Amino acid sequence: MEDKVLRKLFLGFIQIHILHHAKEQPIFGLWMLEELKEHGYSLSAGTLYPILHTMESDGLLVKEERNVEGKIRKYYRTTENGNRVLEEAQKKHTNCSRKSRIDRRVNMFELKNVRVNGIIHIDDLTIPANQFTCILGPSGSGKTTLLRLLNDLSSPDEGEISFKNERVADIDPLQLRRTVLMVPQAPVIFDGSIEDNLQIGLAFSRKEAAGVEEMESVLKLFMLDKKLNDEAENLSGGEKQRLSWARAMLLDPEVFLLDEPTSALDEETARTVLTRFSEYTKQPSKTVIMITHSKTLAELVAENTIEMSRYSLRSGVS
Amino acid sequence: MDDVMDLSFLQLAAAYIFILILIVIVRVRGIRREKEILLATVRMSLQLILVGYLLVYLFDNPNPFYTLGIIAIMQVFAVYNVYKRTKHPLGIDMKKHIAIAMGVGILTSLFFFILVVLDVTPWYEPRYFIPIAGMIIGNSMTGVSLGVNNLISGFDSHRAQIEGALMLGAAPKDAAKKIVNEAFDSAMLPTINSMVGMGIIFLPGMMTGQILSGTSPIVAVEYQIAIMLGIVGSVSLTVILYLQLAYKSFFNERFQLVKERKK
Repeated sequence: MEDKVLRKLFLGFIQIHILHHAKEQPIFGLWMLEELKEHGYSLSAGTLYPILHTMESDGLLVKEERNVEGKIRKYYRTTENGNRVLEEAQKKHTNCSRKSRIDRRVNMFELKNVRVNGIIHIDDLTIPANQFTCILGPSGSGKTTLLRLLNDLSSPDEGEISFKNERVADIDPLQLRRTVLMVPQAPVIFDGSIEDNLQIGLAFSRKEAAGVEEMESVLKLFMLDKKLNDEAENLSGGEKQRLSWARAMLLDPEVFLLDEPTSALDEETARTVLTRFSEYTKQPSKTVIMITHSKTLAELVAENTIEMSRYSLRSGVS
Repeated sequence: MDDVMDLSFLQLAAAYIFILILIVIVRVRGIRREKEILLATVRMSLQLILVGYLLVYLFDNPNPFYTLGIIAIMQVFAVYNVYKRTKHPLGIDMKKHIAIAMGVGILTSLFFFILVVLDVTPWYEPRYFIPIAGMIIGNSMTGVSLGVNNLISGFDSHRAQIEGALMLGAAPKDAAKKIVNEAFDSAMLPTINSMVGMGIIFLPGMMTGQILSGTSPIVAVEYQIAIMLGIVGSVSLTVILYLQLAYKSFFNERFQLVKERKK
C-alpha cells in the first residue's frame, strides 16, 4: 500500500509540475488528495503532507521539470510499471504544454509609452497573465511607482496602461482594485484585533466575512502563531507584514501586486511563506507581480522577470 | 429690569485699571506686547460701543430685513474667520465647503431654535434673534475651524493608512471614515466639555448677563440650557455637513488620494 500510494503521489507530482505552466491545477496538496481519491485511495491531509514533506526534504520536490523527471525515473527504475507511469505522464505533458503555450499569449497588463515625471519611462511592457512575475531593480528605479500605476493608485503623466485589453482609465477604480489587489511594503494595520484586520479588507470590498477556520488557516499558512483576538498593534514588523499579506489572500483577488512582501522577514520565513504562497497561486487564473530585492527569492518563484533600472527596462521569461 | 444698576463713566473707567496692570507686567518682564494689548482694548471698547448703539437702533426699529441683514453679516465674518484660523492653505473647494456647511448648518439650527424652541413673536424680534445668532454662530465657527484643521492634518498624517484601505478596494468614504470621525470628535469635544463644566466651573456668559440684568436665575438657567442644546445641535450639524462635503476633495475621480485640490 505504501508503495502504491507513493507511486500515485509521484504520478500526481509529475503531472503537477508539468501543469505548473498551464496554471490549471488548484492548490497542489488539495489537487493531489482529489486525484488520489479518484484512484481509490482515501487519504487525509494529515497523512499526505508529511509524505510531501519527506519528498521535499529528499530533494524530490524541485522546480525544474527535467530534474524531477530524472529523479522520478531513478525512483521508478526500482519499482514495477515505472516506465508506463512515466509515459502516461509524458503524454499529459505534451498535451499540457500545448495548452500552456496558448495561455502564455494572454496579457494581463500592457503599458505603452508610460511616463511618470522623472521616475518611470516605459516604452512597451507586457505582463503575462497567470504567471508569477518578479520585478527586480535598484532603489529609485520606479518599481513601487509601477505597481501603483497597475493598482490605479496613481495615474501616469503620459501613456496608456491597459488591463485585459481595457484601458485602466476606463475601468471603475473600485472594481479594478478589488481585482488587482496591492499589498504595500510598509504594512498598514488598522485599529483592533488580528481578526478585525483580516476582516476589514472583506468589509471594504463588500465581500462576505470570513469564518474562523478560514482565518486560522490563513494565519497558519503565513506562519503567524497568534490568536485571532490578539491586538494587531502588538505584532512585530515582520508579523504585521505577513498579516497584511494574509489579509490580501483572504480577498482572493485575480491579481496580486506585492511590494517587497518579505522585506521584514528573516530568510527562512521568507522562503517558506513565499513558497506556500506561490503554491496557492498555482490555482487557475492567478497572476502575481512581486517586487523583490532578492535574486534568490525571485529564482525560487519567478516564471517571468522584469528588471528595472533608472534608464532602461528589461523583461524576460525565466 | 428697573433695578439694574447702571455703571457711571468713572466706574467703567476704573475697570481699565486692569489693562494698566497688564501693561505694567508686560513692560517689566520685557514681553513686547504693549501695542497689541492697547489695540485690542481700543478695538473691544469701540466695537462694543458701536454694537450697543446699533442694537439700540435695531431694537427700537424691529424689521425682518434688518435682522436678516445682521445675521448675514455675522455669517460672512464667521466664514472668513474660519478661513483665517486654519493653519493650512485652503483651496477654493475647501472654502466652498466651509461656507456651504456653515450656511446650511447654522441657519437650520438657528431658525429651529428661534421659531420652534423659543417661539418668538414676531419671528424677527432682534432682542432674541441677534444675541442667540451670535452665540450659535460663534460656537459653530470654533467647531468648524477645529474640524478643518483636524481633517487636513488627519489626511496629511494618515496617507499610508488611507492608501492601504484604497488598495484593499475601499471606497473613499470607507477609507476616510476614521479621519472624518476623529475630526468630528475633536471638533465636538470643547462643546461637550463646556456642558460638563457648566454651572460648576463657570457660569456661562449669557446666564450671568441675564442674572445681572435682573432676570430670575431660574429663567436664566432655562434659557441657558436651551441655548446650550441649540449650540450642540448647530456645532454638530455644521461640522458633520462640512466633513461630509470636504473629505471627497481629498480624492480625485479615479479615487486616488491627492493633496488638497486647489482649482
